[in-house]
Amino acid sequence: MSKLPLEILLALRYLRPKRTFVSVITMISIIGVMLGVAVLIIVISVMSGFDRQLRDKLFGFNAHMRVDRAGTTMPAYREVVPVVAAEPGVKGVSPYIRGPIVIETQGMSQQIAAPFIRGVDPDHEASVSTLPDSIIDGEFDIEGQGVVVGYELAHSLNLRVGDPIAIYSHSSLKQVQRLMRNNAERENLPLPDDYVVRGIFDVGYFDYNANVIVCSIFDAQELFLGGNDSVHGLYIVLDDAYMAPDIQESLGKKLGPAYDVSTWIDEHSSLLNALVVEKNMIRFLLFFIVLVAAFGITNSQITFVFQKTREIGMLRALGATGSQILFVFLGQSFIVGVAGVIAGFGLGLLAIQYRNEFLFWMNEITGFSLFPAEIYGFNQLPAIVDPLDLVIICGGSLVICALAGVLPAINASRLKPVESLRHE
Amino acid sequence: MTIEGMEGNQPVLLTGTDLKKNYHIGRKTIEVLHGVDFELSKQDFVAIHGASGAGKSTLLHVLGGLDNPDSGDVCFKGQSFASMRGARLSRFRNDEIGFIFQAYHLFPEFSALENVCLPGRIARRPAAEVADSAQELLELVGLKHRLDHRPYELSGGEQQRVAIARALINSPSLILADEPTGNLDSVTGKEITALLEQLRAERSIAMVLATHDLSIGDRADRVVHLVDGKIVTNPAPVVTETAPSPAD
Repeated sequence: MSKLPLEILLALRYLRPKRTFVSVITMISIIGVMLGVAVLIIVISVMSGFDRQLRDKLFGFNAHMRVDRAGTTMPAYREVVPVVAAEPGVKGVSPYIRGPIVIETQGMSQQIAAPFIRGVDPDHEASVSTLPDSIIDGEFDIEGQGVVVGYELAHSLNLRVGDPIAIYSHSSLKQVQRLMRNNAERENLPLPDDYVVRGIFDVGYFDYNANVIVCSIFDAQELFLGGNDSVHGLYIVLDDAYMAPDIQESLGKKLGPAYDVSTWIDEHSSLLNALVVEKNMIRFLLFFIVLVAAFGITNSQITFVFQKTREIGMLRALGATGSQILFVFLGQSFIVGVAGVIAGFGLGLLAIQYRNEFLFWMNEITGFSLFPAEIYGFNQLPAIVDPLDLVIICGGSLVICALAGVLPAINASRLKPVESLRHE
Repeated sequence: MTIEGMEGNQPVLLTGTDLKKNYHIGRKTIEVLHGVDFELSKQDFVAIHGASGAGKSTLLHVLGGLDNPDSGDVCFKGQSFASMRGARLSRFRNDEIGFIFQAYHLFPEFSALENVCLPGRIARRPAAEVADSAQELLELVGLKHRLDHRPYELSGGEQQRVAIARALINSPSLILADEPTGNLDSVTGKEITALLEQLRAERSIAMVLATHDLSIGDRADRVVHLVDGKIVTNPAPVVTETAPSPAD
């Protein structure tokens, strides 16, 4: 006879019928838990992957941190850059100018839009963003009044590489407004600056693709600062984005109160918090699948107890205590839970591993794209398997499965021996 | 009230005093035991004879602590069952009493050897030690070649032999056998009775055997007649009922 504790031994044997390896009722319970756990792992991993991809895109175009001066420009930026670059954990620093502009396309159908322009140092931009690597048409050439335009903006204005555009800056519009108030002659009004589209970028994030154009920092100084050698601030990229709060505190002390140091968390907190809330909510809702599976365990345990009533009576006659009977049936639901969680864990990881092959197969079979790249912005389904998520999913499911067996087990432990022996 | 015969000088193992037990089916109350007094000495073999529905099984259940009497008490080795509820009573039963039932009540998921081991494992005895004892007992009851067979692979007589071995595994002081030959043919029934008597005598174990078969009483030290829930000294001729009542 096995050396396993009696309760575990009985639980294992009861899960097997007389002649077949595993009973149908056990299999159904295990499959229920397996599906719940697998779905949880798949959905949460895809959510994590999506979250990470979104962060990467945000970080790809927007640096991890910014240094600027509230309400004014930063003329001494050349002195500040080495201070920031020397900070441990800082990977790259680059000055920027940004602000709203009005652009007008040239040619037959002139169209007007009001995006943001971002002036960047072309020599340092690669150290703080993925913009130079995100050009999908033309090239990243912003020297001499060249601009690169976001894919969505170019599409809406029907812009192509080589097309000229006119840019009205904030200061030139103010000048026009002032001159018009003074009834200036039409020919005295300032003309917009002419630029050429040298490239079209796709940073994978709709807002940036639809609302941003990029020029050199020298052109931006002309547009916004009257040609002064000043900038609006510095973009900073870190070795580890999650160190941003620590580095923010350290840089804040070094640069003093004249400078504002902000992080990606400050800038995108509402979006990222929404993602976290969404993930937690989905995790919470999907746990209901496990809960339903757990009710399956409760149901099967009630059936088991009913089927085994005479044997429970006999165990009591042989001297088994109520707690020994309790642990037999608790052990049984726990074993079903463990088997379901292990199977769900395997199935979930397998599905994550082959998710793109599955999507491709589904597209082939149905001719319908489940995640169109033009909407979701990715060609492959992102997924990240976070060990903490796995621990929460598997641990939580095990606890739920164990609890599912409590009531039937208590019921079994309270059966009266004589009534149980007489059970038909 | 009469304490049923205590013969010889053996010390008392068990006494049941004024045992009463009723069953309730809907609004109807069935009186099964009407104030039974019962005494058993160590090594005593008592046959309880009675027709179906006379209360034999109920009396055995009460004497074995499986069921509580509505009134009265059972004292086993000086300890009152009324003062021993729950886990304590279960452990006492596991240690001191071996049950044998008409329907064998073997566990179909376990082999013959494993079935015999169960009371030992319930008592938390080491698995290897229990398995050795179980094997010896099964050899003793003539099932050396059936150790790994499941109950459904054994005949009725063989299943009852396994049940006998199971009842003996924890070396109890008392065996309570409820119609142990009731499901067997007469030849096998006699073999089982003889085996029970032999093992009991060899091991100096007291036994109470409930039966409606008067011939089994010949082997007992004494026969107690249970008629309508009462022990009677000179019973009228027994009329065996075919349909068992809830009390049986």
